Amino acid sequence: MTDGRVNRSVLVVGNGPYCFKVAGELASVDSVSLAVLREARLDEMEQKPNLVELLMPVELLGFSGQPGEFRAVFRQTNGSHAERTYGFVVVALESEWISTLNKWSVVEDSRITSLSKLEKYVNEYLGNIGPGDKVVFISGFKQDSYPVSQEKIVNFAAAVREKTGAATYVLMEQFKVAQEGLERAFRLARELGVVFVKFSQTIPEVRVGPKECTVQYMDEAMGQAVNISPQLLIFEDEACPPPEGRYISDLLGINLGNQGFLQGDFLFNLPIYTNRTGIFVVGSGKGPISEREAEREAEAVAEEVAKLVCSFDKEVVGPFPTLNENECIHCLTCYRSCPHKAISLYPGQRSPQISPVACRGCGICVESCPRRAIDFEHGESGISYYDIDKEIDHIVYEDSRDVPRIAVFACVNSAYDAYLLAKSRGDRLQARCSVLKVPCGGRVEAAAVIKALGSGVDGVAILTCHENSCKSVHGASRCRKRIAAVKEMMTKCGVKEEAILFGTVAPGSAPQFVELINRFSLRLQGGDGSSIIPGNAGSGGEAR
Amino acid sequence: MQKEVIIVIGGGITGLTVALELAQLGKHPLVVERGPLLGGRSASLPCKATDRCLKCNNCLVEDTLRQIKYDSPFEFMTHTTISDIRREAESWYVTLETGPFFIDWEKCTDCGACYEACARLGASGVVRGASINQHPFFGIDQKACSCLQKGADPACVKECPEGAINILTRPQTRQVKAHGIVVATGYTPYVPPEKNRFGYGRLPNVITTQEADEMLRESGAVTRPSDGRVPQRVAFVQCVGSRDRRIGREYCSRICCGYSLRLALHMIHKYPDVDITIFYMDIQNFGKDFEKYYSEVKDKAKLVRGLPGDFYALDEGKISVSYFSEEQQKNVAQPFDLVLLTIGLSPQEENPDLANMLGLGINEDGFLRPSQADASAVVVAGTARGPMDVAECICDAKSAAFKMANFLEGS
Ligand SMILES: Cc1cc2nc3c(=O)[nH]c(=O)nc-3n(C[C@H](O)[C@H](O)[C@H](O)COP(=O)(O)OP(=O)(O)OC[C@H]3O[C@@H](n4cnc5c(N)ncnc54)[C@H](O)[C@@H]3O)c2cc1C
Ligand code: SF4
Ligand code: SF4
Repeated sequence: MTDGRVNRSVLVVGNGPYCFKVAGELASVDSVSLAVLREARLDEMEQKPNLVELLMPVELLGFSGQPGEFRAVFRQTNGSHAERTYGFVVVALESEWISTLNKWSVVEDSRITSLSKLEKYVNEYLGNIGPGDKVVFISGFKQDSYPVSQEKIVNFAAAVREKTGAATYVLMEQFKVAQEGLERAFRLARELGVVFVKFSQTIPEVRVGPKECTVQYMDEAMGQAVNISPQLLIFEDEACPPPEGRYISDLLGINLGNQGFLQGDFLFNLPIYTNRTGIFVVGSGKGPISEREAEREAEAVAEEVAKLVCSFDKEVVGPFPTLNENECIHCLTCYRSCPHKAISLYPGQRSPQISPVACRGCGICVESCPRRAIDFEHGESGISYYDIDKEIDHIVYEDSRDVPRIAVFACVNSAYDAYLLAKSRGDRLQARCSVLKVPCGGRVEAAAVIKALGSGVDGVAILTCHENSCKSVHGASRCRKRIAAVKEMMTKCGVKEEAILFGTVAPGSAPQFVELINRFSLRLQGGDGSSIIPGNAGSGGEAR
Repeated sequence: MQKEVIIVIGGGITGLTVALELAQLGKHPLVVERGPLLGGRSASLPCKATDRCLKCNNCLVEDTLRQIKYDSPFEFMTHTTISDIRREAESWYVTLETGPFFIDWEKCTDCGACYEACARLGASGVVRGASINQHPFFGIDQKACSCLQKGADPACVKECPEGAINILTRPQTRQVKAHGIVVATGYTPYVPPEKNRFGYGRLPNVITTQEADEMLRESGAVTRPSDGRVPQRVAFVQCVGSRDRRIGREYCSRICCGYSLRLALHMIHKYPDVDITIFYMDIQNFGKDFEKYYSEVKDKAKLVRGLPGDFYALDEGKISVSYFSEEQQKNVAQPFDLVLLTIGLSPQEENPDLANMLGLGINEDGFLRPSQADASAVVVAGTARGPMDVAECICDAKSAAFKMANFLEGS
């Protein structure tokens, strides 16, 4: 927001009917541009008043900027380029259902087909089926099954059974019934006479001859071999990530998840966030979901956008890092290390700029800057690391014994809460602990650890969130690596590295906090800590 | 302009998120929670991490509670129920009843003097939060108060240095004019009936996953209730209280596979020697890397398809579990040190009353459904609508806040 212009419009990127629905929800919030990457069906969108622009089909060529001023470059089919600015981006790409026939080494014909083909040509496929015929559905085995696809199977199976009177079988690995009404739908199908056969050890075999195809399997419950020659054989499809997903995520700088589905696998992402503020992802592009869920995500994202718009009008509160341009040497370390991509470079600006909207106050840039050119403005939520002696204030200890003194760097999102909880429960620590609240493990620099060690304590513990649930994405893992490096250095210098502990603990886990500290305390006293109950370290581990 | 108040019924993760979002949109939510504390069921879920986070979602709850504790973004009332609701023109007239025995959280400093006083008497009338981010951190469970039962003056009232504990003869009432209502009243964990084949209630080492979770949160480990020992052989019985038409629950609770497999992985991480058997019908997908979790579980635990039949007491608190083995094609019995019943989510008993009062529908499973006619003045969110996990509740709450804000803007 260097030029003071804040844009409140939303760019929706999609590839099918769902993105029109999403744009429809957003239209009540603010003005919307819809970029559809392929030719798609125009749903009820046309009459929506706030849709400023529909780009279809369009290619997204370039993307840069921060929330409130994202810049996108498009190329349309006529070859013309367009550049636009947006406040927010919603990615609403849909996943695809791909036939699994080749995985079974069979070819599609009038007797053998995929679920999506059956959906499209129901009458053609079912036209010749009658009583005495056999119809077999196969679900799973070669790919993951989902409630959404099994819902289709159960509905088709019930309809086939009811309308044609054919003997209908569904061979499956598991019932995926985690969706409203599905358990009941399976029962109703069973009552109509659909036969469901489940497998956990074996896989059915499919053989296709010129005259007939056969399905051969082991009935695991009965321990018997079974042969069926169906007149119609239908295979469940495989859910595949949107083909445009990889390109779009690279361009927008958002993480991809499992198997190339959209959205990184991260606790705090919920169903709609990405690693970037102001960029959201909704719908089946993240993996198959029900229609109701897709609708809910569209509404939730509309709420998020409305909320962010409100936040533009408010002053930034809380810890916010500022960059001292006189100290900055333009090495761009901060730009590369920010987990939220909140630091940008602008032509004409001497130093990188930190976006107050995108910054989440983790302090990783503060730690990473070799010039200490970045610091938190107003005192912030904890540590001033050149004053560790002054910070050593909270002392909880077992007074009956002479116990080690431990300085604890505790992440405000996890270990610090666990410590406060332990304290309020009156849990006993076998150590005198001085607990320093830090905004993120990633903020604790090596110098602070060494400084703490030099302040006369017996040990230093750095306790963070679990690495893959760190709110600052790579804060905890950066911290772990840093501590490992410090330890290595100490060993090289002949100093005992046992005096440093890296551990992970969740905010509600007071007993685990106590266990980590007490075990560490024992180790500092020469024991190995193995006598501490209960069991080996409850959570987290030690830096190697 | 007069403030347009929205009543949010229920202070679980759903209700709190709805209120937080509405407040951030510049609206005025008022959360009404009948229990003593905020956070609902989710505030006491334990972390099930191994050496990495397994995404049990508890950190999401802590994060939300932390925001509320430090920013106080909206008004809430604990120990409070709705005694009457009337609809007149565009508004709801709501009567709220607080107490009569309650902690005034605006005065309370979370010092814990009341809790200690109560504990000294060996009673548990003062309850404590499970998360440090819960404010109020203490509350009154009137039914468990031993002083009242003995006809004595409650000790906590005298001990509180802030004079924050009220004990009145009648509940305190308050009238609120509201423009909209969000129902976030949550669910009830299934509890097996008195007569049950699992031996639950009869055999001390047969417990529900809810009880195991509480134990894990409180003490850091799941141990045997009978002797506090770490169990060697543990059985999980899936779908207890779910997918069973005979008990009126013909639905999958959706989240129990996820939370129980995580718990199993957590226990194996903590005690690598523990031998876990999971009896199941089907394993439901959960989370983005479901396949990874599932294959890890298949690797480290024994999965047995089919639910066991009988549960008998053996000596030393062990339990004999008999089941049909597909491998051996016959019934076999196996001893376990601890049996965990993976319980499902049941609809709240009061749902029909609430539906009646607010003009809502009830779905076939007994959960609430928005009414067709007047959908937007009353919104239902979270597990009050059906089983979902915390992340889904938060997303659902955001969508509910959106609908409510839109409704207010339109009216
Ligand atoms: C054994 C078990 C383990 C679980 N583990 C996990 C897990 O690991 N991860 C996960 O994500 N989810 C888990 N869940 C699910 C999780 O508990 C729910 O998703 C979540 O708690 C639902 O939140 P809620 O706010 O919708 O409902 P609730 O937590 O039930 O909150 C509802 C609130 O409303 C209040 N209330 C109800 N009626 C009224 C009324 N009439 N007036 C005033 N107040 C009222 C209640 O007192 C309560 O505080 C688990 C569930 C169970 C049973
Ligand atoms: S890391 Fe420090 S010196 Fe380097 S660009 Fe950022 S602020 Fe400037
Ligand atoms: S498992 Fe859950 S509670 Fe534990 S660290 Fe991960 S997200 Fe947090």
